[in-house]
Amino acid sequence: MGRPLKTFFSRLFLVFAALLSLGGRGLAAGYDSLVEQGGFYLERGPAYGADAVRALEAALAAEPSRASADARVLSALARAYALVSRYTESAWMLDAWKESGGWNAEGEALRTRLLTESGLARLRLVSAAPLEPLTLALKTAADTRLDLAARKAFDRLTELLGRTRSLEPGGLTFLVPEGRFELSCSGPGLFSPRAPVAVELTAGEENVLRLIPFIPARESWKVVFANRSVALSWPGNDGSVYELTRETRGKSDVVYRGRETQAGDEAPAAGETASYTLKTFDAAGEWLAASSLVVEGRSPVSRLSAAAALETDLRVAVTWELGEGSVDRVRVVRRRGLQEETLAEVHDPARLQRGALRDGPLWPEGDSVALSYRVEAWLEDAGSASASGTAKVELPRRVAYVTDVVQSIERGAVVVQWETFPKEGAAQGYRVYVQKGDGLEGELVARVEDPFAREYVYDVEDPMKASGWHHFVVPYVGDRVFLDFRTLTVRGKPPEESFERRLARGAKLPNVALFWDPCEDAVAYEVAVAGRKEVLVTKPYVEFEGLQSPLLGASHTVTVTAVTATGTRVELLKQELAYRHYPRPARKEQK
Amino acid sequence: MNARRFLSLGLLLALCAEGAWAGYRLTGVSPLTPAGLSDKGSFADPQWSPDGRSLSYEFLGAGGDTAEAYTAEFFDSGGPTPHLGAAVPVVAPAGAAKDPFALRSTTTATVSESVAWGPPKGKGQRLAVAATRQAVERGAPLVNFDLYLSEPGRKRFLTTSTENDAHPAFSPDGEYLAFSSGLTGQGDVYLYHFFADADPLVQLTFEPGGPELYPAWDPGGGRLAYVGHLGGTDHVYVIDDVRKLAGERDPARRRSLARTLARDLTPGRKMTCLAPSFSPDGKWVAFFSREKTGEEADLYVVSAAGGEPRRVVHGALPENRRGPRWTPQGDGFVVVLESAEKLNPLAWVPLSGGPPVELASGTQLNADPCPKKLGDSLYLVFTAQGGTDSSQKRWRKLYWGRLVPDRTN
Repeated sequence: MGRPLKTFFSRLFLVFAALLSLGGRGLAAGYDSLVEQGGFYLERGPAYGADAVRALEAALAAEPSRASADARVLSALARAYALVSRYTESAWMLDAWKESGGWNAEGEALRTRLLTESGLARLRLVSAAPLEPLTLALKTAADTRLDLAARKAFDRLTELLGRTRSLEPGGLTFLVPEGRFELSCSGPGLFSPRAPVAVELTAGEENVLRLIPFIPARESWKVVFANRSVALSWPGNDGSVYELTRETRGKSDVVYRGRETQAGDEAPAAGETASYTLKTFDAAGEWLAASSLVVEGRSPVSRLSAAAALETDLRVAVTWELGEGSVDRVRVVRRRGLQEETLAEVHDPARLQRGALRDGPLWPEGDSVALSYRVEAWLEDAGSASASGTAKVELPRRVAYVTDVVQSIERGAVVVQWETFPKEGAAQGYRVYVQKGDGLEGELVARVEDPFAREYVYDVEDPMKASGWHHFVVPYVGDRVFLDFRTLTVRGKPPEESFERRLARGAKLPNVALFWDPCEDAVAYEVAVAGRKEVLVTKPYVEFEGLQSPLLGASHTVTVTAVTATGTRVELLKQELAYRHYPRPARKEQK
Repeated sequence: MNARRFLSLGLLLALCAEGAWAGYRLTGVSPLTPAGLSDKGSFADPQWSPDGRSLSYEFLGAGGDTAEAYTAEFFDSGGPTPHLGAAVPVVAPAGAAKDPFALRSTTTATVSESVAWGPPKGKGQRLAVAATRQAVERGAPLVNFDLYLSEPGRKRFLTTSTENDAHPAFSPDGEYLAFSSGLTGQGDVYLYHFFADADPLVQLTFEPGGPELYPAWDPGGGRLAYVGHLGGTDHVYVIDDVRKLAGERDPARRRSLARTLARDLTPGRKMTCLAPSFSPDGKWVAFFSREKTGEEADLYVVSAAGGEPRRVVHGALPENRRGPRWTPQGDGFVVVLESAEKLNPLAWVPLSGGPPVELASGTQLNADPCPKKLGDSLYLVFTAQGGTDSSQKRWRKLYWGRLVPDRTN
């Protein structure tokens, strides 16, 4: 009989004997039968190890909770696994047996044998937090040769490692033949090691490899962007020490190390990414966990809204607000006609995202002026602004003159109100004069620094007396005043009677009478006052009326030009007329 | 006279002043007692570990029926007397519990012998012995030895046959363990290949006419010498390419190949050859040879390449477990001269064939000399039936001493 056939019959006999030993209870029986079967095969020696494992595993599957507390099953499985070179599972069964009670000298001998005499090393994997699922793979290093027994053990171990499992914080020990190996670990909750790890194992000794769980989860990080900075925070534990490392462009820098659960950093530039790694250590410095997060640099600001408003002081308030994105500076440009002027370059991070500035005061001119303010968002080194917005305002026309001045006494105060032309015009301010009697020199009451002022009130000691006063309002911009020349009349007809006679008969005298030596060739004289009023007279004489208001606060040049018959113009006279000429102070001296 | 000739003359004069090289003398002989063993018992076959940090030996206790192999750490702190650490049995005792793996001895009363040290492994030593699994009782008709391996983190029987396995010898690289086995009924030389793909046992000799025993490796690990039976007497053979032979997987082809690779180093020899040993440089093979069992043995050397064996000493006591003991330098041997008058003194025998130089040890009935070079010193351990001045001669003890070069004036 050939050897295989012999073995077959031998096995058949043993199965038959096993059936007999079960007392007719049959193979299909339950837990106890399976346990007895397992024990029976186990007694037959190594050749029946696989049968013993099969029966005992079936018992374990049939009643897991009962089996896990049954020293008979656990010890038998430990031995059966060892017989088929499944040493790691054997050791696990011994551990379970020890925990479940009933531990004895046989278990201790088994354990000693496995751990110190079997030629196997212990590879212990530990983790600070559960890792599930975890897939492991072990590969022999090129220079490691396994003998026959070790290869068998390694093959069984490889099968075991191929099954997905969980790693609890208590750790997990695998029995591995002596040699050098590459261990690969993978699982969604695993941070490290990601690449195969070289492990050198010595029979009878334990090698501990700490697996680092991915904690905290990415979802639990908080990332808050400021303009060019980023604030990172994460859930933490008491007593833990954190180390936050940033890696950009292959360069690694520690951003933070300490017990806080937050840290700030420069945000990566647009189009770039920063990879942050957070390592958690316990108080003793043991690396417990790690997590990582990739932060993408934000794109440049692409949206910008700008607004401009003219304020009552003739300043323009320019405001802006930027959309999401990165920006290094904001530039504000004012455009007036074709002329552009940069008003500000804002770098202050606090004012970049939302900011304001005031332009002016902008003094009005003869016509209204359209102003536009362009706000631009810039990244350094960029060729153009990433976003811009424009806001427009219209500067009102300057007040040409004050048309009507009305005065009243109200509650003991003098109320001066006036109208302007144009009605909505503006000036830098208004000078308010009072003339307290006909022929008296006017006095400056106030400078009303309000471009749009139309009223001025001031207290007086004697309101009754003040009711007889006469007020003038002169708009001004800087040194310039704007007077109402409409009241100024120039008459060129010489008087037919003297001033005295005119006074005597109650006629009104002109404010100023000007006469000059006639020019022989002149057929007419052109008289101009301040370039604003011109009259052509044939006699060398003019009278001015309505000079009071125009002369307040200013002087005006009166020019007399002789015009000949051929049209030749010869300037004859240039005389400065000022308020002091009215109401003719010299008149008192004449008295 | 030129300067060179002058210097040569000076050197010659200096040598003359020191005296001529006359071999070795033994100094500092004293007993070595391992801790933890009874002082009533006999030691045998001391062996140095390759790194010299440990000694192995066999010990037959007074109350025991069987001998066991032990190891003990050897400490020489530079004082007058080195000492041994605790005795550690090579074969792990079974303990009270049943051995689930059938890899331990089933009893504490095992027999273990023929310690073979292998190259160090990891942080420890590797060794193999021939040991019994079953309890051995005095006068037992059948004792079965298997090979047992002990290395860091691993202790197990390597062979399981019901026939005896004996004379283990590690290849220098530790890949093979050569041994003699009765597996095929009459004793053949086998290899245990630690990294075999399938069956690790490789039969190397197939001669049906008698047993092949006492395999011994050459220092290079490529040749294996052994004793083979031929024509009614035992000859020394050498397999020139043992790895090639071991690499042949087909037993029939291997059998055929063995006939071409195995060489008789002692062709035509009528005397029985005993266990061989290679010289440290691998050029020579030494062996004891005698007419009949019980008669005086002579020590021979023969070139490993072949040639006429040359007797280097007459009347030596052959080793029980292994071949002659070369000095580490390979300049000769340490032997025990068989002399009833002098009670078997130790002697150094030069390879060149000069007269043996007795090594005064102060001991008697010496045996098992084993030299070892450690640092600059040459140590010798041996067993003896007590000192010449000792009244206690019942138990064979372990001794040590230093071999120092001896010059005569």
